[in-house]
Amino acid sequence: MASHEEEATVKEPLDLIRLSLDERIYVKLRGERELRGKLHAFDQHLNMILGDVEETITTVEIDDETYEEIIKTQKRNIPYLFVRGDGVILVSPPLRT
Amino acid sequence: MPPRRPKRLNRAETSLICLIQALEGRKVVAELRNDCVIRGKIDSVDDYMNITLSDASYQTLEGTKTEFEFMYLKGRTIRFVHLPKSLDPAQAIEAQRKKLVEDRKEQIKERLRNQHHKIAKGIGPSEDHDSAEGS
Repeated sequence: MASHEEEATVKEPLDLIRLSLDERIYVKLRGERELRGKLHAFDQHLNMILGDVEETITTVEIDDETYEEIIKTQKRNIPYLFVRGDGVILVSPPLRT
Repeated sequence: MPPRRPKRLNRAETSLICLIQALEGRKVVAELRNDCVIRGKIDSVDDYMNITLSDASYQTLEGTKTEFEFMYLKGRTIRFVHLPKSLDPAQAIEAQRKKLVEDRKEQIKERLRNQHHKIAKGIGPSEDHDSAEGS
């Protein structure tokens, strides 16, 4: 959190996020978006400040003839980003893929 | 007498909204939930992240750009705010907190001045019906 107190005990779910401060994390957002970046700060609403972010937008297109699903991803890089908490679905250490 | 802490910290102080408030006067880029991009200079931010901007441009996903001299952006529509790379969040939030403390001190001084004024004029302090702040 933005406070300066350091407590080793994990009391509530937000403390788990606090353990990831200054680490790279994976954030899943609404609208089929994912962010990977370094967590600088967060608050109780899950508003976050991320650095060196890579945003991935996933779209699924269905071919009219073959009816197959074409999964497309768009990526972009943003150096420093403030994310509004109401769009956040989950926060996790980065997935090893 | 030691400085008294406010009994209830206001909504902005307990969340990262104070960082956006620290950006007042700077040009930023905001990305909205409807995939539009707003570029403009922040005039003021309230506790709900509603932002008033000046010299703003509103660009849709298709690319149509509209310019506005003044814009009020509702906080709920914001998805991201692109921050300047040179920003140090801890420093900015500290500076914002100090500013809020100064503002509060000014407000209390103003209130005391008004009360003294009324006492001097012979109107009792019990007649002071001004709304008390956050107590």
